[in-house]
Amino acid sequence: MLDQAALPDPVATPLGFFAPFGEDVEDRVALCSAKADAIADRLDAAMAASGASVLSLDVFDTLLLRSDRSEAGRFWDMAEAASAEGLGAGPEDVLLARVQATALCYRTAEKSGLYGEAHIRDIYRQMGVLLARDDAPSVLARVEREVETANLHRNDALAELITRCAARGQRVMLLTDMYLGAEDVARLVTALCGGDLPIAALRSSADLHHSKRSGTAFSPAAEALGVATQEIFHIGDNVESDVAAARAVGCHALHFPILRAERRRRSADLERTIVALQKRGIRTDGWAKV
Amino acid sequence: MDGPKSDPAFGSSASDKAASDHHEARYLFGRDTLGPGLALYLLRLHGIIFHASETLGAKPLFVARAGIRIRRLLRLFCERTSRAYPEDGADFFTSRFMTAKGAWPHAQGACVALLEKEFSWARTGAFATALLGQERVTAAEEEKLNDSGDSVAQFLASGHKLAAAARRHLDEQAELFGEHLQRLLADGPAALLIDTGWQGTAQTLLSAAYPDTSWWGAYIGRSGFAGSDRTHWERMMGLVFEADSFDPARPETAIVLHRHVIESLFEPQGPSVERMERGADGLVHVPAAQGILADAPDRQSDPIFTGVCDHIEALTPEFGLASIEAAAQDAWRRFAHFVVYPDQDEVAMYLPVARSADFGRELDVPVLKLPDDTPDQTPDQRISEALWPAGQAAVEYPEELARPVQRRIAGIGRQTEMGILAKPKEPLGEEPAVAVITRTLDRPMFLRRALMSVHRQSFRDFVHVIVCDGGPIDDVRQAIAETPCDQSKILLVDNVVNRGMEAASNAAIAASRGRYLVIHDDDDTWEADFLADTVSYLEGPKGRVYGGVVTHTTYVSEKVEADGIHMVGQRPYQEWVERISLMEMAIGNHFAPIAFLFRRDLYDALGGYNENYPVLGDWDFNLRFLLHANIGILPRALANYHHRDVGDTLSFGNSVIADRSKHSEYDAIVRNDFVRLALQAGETSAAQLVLQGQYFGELRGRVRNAERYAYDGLNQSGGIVPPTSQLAQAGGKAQSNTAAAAGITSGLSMSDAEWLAAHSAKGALELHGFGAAGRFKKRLKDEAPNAASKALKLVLPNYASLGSGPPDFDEARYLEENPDVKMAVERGDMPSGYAHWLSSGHAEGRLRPTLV
Repeated sequence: MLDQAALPDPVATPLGFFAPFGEDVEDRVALCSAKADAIADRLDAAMAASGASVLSLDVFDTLLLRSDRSEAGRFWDMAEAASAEGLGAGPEDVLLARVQATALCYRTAEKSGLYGEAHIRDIYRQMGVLLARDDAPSVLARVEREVETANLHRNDALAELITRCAARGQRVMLLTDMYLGAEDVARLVTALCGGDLPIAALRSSADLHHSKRSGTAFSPAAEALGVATQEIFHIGDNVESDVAAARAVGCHALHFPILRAERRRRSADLERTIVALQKRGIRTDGWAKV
Repeated sequence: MDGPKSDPAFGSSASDKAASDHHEARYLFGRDTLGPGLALYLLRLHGIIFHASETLGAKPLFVARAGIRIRRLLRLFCERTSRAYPEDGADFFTSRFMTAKGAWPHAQGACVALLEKEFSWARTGAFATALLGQERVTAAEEEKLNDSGDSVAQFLASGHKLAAAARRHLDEQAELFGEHLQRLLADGPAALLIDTGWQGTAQTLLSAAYPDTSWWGAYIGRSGFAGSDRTHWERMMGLVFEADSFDPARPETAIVLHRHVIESLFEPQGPSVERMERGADGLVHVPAAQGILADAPDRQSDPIFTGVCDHIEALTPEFGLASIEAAAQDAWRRFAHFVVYPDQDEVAMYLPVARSADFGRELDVPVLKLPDDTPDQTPDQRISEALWPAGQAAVEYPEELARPVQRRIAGIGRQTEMGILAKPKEPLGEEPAVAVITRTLDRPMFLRRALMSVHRQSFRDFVHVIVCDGGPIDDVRQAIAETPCDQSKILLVDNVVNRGMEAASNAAIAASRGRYLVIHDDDDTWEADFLADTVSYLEGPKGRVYGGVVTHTTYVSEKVEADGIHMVGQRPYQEWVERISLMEMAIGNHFAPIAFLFRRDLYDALGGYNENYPVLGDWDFNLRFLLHANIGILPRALANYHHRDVGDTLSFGNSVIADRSKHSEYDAIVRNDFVRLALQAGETSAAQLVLQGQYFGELRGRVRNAERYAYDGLNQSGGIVPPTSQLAQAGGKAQSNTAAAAGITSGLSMSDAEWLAAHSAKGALELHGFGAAGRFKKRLKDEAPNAASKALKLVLPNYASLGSGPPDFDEARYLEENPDVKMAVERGDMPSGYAHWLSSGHAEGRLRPTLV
């Protein structure tokens, strides 16, 4: 038998992109701000090792880092704000309209692989029908921008990486699976990162019916830039969409994960939101997410 | 449909007052229960009609008959809530029978399949009469056709004059149907069918017959059965529910238990649409349309529908989404209680209700049957045949007897898995719910597969601890990096040097948090719901009884080749295990670690795994676990226990295969240690149990061998039948099942046994008490062939004298098919392939190659 006492102690190490920055990292916004250069260096080195010439970034929870508010919580914030804007409906009505309209638009959307990609303008229009208010779409769009802006933060490390790539003459593309169209996403990027970020292209699944998660977004995006997928180095937070699907079509990909602590805080927010909504008689099964 | 009939509820002496009360109850049920539920449906329907029109270019088609009343309600809803009524909608007069006719030339297969199904209750003559009418098919012709025994398809393809008439009728009706449809759609790209719903048969037929149109459906419910065609279900939207069975968490799904509440509600006075015709104006007309449109229900003729209308009528623009939805939720809860647990007063509302049959059948089917009307049937028969079984139970029995029957019909109750397997909320707390422990050493190919197995779990609140037990840590890092799994959920533990499997488990568990633990070895896999279902099990009521849970397991045979891991076969593993008892565990371990999720506090109480055991550490742990807590069984095959039991088992074998001799050695050590410690702790009963386990196991093995022998004797020798012939038959059956499941051939045949007896070294046999070869031969016949195997294991050195076995044993092929044996023979560890087959190959299920 082994003499266990004489053996060296086992060493436990967490894995993932942020592991070198310590086990107790709890806030990506703060970390990416405090260690922007160090993180950009690591990403830079990984991209250089891949030999890729085009940087592709996911937008939400990658270039724009979300707050700890859950998606369900943000939808409620938007519903409250839209109701206060004089939509003539209570926040519960607006929220339920959002839930029903979203479900319907995804259900009937053109399929890209297994997935349908809905567009926010269809969701707003359907909300207008449900709320019997023709002016709903414009109010909702404005409110959505305000709530999103309040809950998003610029990722300083990736902003630095973009700047470095541009300085080297490498193009940068933003690729998002989102119900917001490219125009709306561009407004958010500009609002949070400034208008001078050198972005060569911004593509959203809402406009194109191609998505990362279905694996159909990368090749057309590469084609539009006139490069092979092997020339693309993609970074994103979703393992399936941003890593597995990207690698499956030949892109280089790096996982930029949401921290466990962040997930826990969002889960806690989701739980609080669900309790609050259920108290108001709103069913949350089937749609309320982190 | 139901009219102002005298109330027949519970005897003919019901007074006018009782009838009036039931009439009022129907009205109130419509107004206060169905009305609020359907208001939400109408709100959603209104939204979908506009959305489908705007984004899909879909024409709303209200499928008559039910569509007529749906449309009427929708108009009322729009008026009362100040919404724009979709004026572009149209009535689409059809039925499933008519739609089948319309599909005839374009999708003949689907059309005939539906007709076959719908007329499965009748014979061909009845079909011909339903299709062509009594005026064209005489009673004599119908009877003759019935006697022919032809199916609908055979009849339609035949040269019978009525078959020719039927084809002409179908061709003519299809042409008219096509024209009718074209006029409705006006070359639009899509249509939205609006109907009560369920399986979407008409939509499926139309999608097949008219593929140029994009067919969508907006239904009250979408619900199917095991054989339902779900090809187009993505485009069938159930606005109230989409479910095949009742889910108590979604009370609106109670409609599946009593669909006729909805169907009878929307069934207007008027005939079913069975045919179309060309009018004098040259246009297509639907003769039944006028009768359907004349439907004018009022409180007297149809109190339930009128009640619904009155609820909608009372709405105002101030009723927002939230209030409509809240009222609907409350109403569906009451509805579910009514449908699942009706009392006798409530079922009285539906006693006079009958549903008219379609597909040309002229009969009404009562929703509920009165016992006096069907004295030849038992209550159980009436319940199983009733359109509303729970309601029929209330007709048959007083409330306290009806309740358990109704609960069973609804599939709910304390003992059902529905209660047990309620999905847990995530996260369960600050720490992850589960720590998944994977021990790995130099096997990146397996590790990648294990990583994906864990990554694909539907339950996400876990940490996956990979413990590298002394191999190169960089290889493990690389395997993790190459696998598209969420690395932030992974904790890598470097054991630096190999400490053994159990020490690796302990180190990994010590480094992690998680209320539940499970060992997922690097070569095993799970189905996607393993964690979801096992965590739910222990989080639910069962968690108060059990400290751990084992799922059913699939044994996977595989082999490793240069290009990867290849599955060779699979079978249920230890499927005989129905419960985990301490006695059974004392005989031996009978479940795999991959199938076992357990509470960490129990692991802590036991002091973890015993690190002194290179093998069977899990058995020792399970034995000790059962002294503290019970282990439940989840009867779903969610774990896959992989074995490299074919091909190169020396290089890639798992410990059960490759370390067989070690298992045997440590069986005694683990047992002795356990007994010693138990005695020291004064737990004499536990010590006794484990000691007895060995003997029980051995005895059971002997009985099984005898059964196998009996089976072999019956099947192979043809002449040697053991004296206990009953046992032989029972054994034969058991062996047959086991062999089929395992793909295992029988054990030693009599030809092997006799050959052995003739060739065994007399001296060696005598040394071990078997006497002369003749006596040995007799003993082989009297006991079991495995006795020969066992005896010869004792004289293993004499295996050399066996050479390559009996003349019919194909030594070369055996070595070729078993490279591990070939290597052992080449190394001199085993004298021959036959000696291996004899000593263990046959017990492992390896095939005995026979020279022809």
